[in-house]
Amino acid sequence: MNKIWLIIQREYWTRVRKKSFLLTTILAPLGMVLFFAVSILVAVSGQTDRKIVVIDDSGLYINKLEDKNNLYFKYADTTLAYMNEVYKNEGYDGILYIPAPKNWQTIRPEYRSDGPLGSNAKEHIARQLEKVTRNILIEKENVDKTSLEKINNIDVSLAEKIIGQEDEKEASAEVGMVMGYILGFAIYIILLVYGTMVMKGVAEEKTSKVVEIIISSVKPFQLMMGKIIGVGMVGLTQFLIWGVMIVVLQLVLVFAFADQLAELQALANDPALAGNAPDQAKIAGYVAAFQQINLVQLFFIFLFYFFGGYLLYGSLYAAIGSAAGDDVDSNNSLSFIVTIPIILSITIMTAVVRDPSSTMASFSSIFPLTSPVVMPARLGFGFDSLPELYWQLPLSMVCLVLGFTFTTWVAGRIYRTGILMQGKKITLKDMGMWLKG
Amino acid sequence: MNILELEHINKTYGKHQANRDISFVVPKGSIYGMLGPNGAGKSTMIRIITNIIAADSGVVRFNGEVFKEQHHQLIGYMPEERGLYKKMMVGEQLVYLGRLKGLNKVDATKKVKDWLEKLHIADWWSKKIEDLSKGMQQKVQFIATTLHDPMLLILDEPFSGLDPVNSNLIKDEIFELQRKGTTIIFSTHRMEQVEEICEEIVLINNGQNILQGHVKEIRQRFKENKYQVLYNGEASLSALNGYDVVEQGNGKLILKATQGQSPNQLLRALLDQGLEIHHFNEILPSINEIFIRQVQAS
Repeated sequence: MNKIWLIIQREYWTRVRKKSFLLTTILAPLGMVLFFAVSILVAVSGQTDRKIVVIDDSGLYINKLEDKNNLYFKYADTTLAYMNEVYKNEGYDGILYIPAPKNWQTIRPEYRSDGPLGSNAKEHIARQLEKVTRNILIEKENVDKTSLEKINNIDVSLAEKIIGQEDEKEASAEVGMVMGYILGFAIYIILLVYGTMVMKGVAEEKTSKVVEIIISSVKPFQLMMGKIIGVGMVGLTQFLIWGVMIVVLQLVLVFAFADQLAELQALANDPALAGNAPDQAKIAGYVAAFQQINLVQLFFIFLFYFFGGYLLYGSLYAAIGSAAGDDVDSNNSLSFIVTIPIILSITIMTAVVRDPSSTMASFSSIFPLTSPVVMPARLGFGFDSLPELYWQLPLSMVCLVLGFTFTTWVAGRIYRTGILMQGKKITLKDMGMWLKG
Repeated sequence: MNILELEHINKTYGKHQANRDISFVVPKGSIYGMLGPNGAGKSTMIRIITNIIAADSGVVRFNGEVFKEQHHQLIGYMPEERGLYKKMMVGEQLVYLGRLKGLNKVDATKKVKDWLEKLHIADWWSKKIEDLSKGMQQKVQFIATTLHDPMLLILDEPFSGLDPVNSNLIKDEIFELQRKGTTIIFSTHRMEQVEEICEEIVLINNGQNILQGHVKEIRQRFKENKYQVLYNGEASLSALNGYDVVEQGNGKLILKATQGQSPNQLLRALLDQGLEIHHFNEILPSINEIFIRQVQAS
């Protein structure tokens, strides 16, 4: 046991101290935050003050446009041709020309300037004009304004209730789906990235011929498990650092860009943009659905599938690595055999999050080769939406434990022979023989 | 007292029988040669001794006991196919390998430092393995093998890739270790080294033990009663009854005693001829000759 611990430590420290580890671990979240920061700046930077002179042929829009969102309107009783010549000298950035509407259904105003307006400002002006036009029409057509608002504000959203539960909580399929995607995808990435890392580590140990020196001190199985666990801990460290960094950097971001964020918030909540304003009720629904998820429980189950899936695939990758020839790349074809079920898992997972109670969903979240990716994805929906999880989850966990026990046993047998085979191209048939012998 | 006893070891890989009913014993404190052509089954034999692989049948006894997990710590093994972690530093790597052999961190560190100094490479501690030449790496490997003061040291082709200076350095260390009581098994196909270093040998061919014993005794066993004489004068060889002339010329004569005569009898016969003898010696076959003869015969 002591020796396994030594091996774990070596595998862990040699990787964690590598420059490439530091770079990917620290730069990835920094890059992400930088991306957000730049997006915020870009979104906000369009917001320079604009003085706009309005030429309104109908006279119906005079003083109806509000000065806000960095747009300032001034009315001029003159011709467009004249203003075209002098607007710059009079200190305006552009001209808003509203021709007298021939038909109140389609309004075609123009913004004239020597530079682009920007999509935000363009949208602001259009929505304001739409609102003013609406009010003009209400008056013109003698429509009762309050009745109209009533009619306009009909809100229909389809609620989904699970029958037979004490408090019929609203299940939000969208939140479950997003959670499911994130969890399933995270495990998928872990299996691929760190599984391959194990395979490469084993192959390097074999081709550099250090392996025989090591296994004259420890059992091959100890060396294999030490490597798998050590690399797994590297993965865990990386995820932890990412988690902490993302939280910290987000806080930094919130403080550093407080003003800009407030501005963005204002933009989002602007009733002038009410055409597609976010539905408050819907957001509240998401929040409620998210709060329903037992995050602590989910975290531990996620960890279980992380380790279970990683042990299962890590050991298979170790077996493939042990079969490597002198040319490490030559065993790519063998590694594909292990990679296929992982890729298949993610394909099944994307289908499962759309229909988490299907037979395929149940089967693939119990079958140990696919369960590490599929089961966490289904758990995102919670036990309330998928009550069959009460029996499927324990079954799936037991199957996964049996699964990785079996694969580590198989891998151990292949590994102990494979690592000593030098200079020969190894086939699946050979590996089958080692398994028996 | 024997440090190692092998009884009827058999090992088969698929259809290939690597070891066939091999038995031999290695006395404590000896330098023991394990010889054989390439592919004879030496490396398989060593892997069975070091418990890296299991024999299909037969018994290995270490220090009188059937091999146990703890025995790993008493054996130092330098395989023929050897390497080190390329990206690790010399010091760190040696400490790690020492700890895998059961040393604690403090002891391992101290021993590594002592060894590096002994081999005049103290400044290598923080060098990466990939920056060392092959011969330099071999020195590090030798340290890794002996760091934990093993009772039994198994060296598989220890001099391959070493220049004469470093070969001698390692050879001296091997003798030094033997003086301190370490038993050394030395596996090679280079016979001149065996004669120089080993006291006892076992010869393996086609997975079988075809010859074993003390080097001196084996050479005696295979001697052909040949003698070499350096002389002055006119030799009348026809008068030498019972001797075949193998070679003659330039004051040198090689004879073979066909009736088992003693060296004294030959010397007397030569003196009787009035020859002036400058040098007289019996020619014993080299281990190399015996090796080739036995391998061809088996």
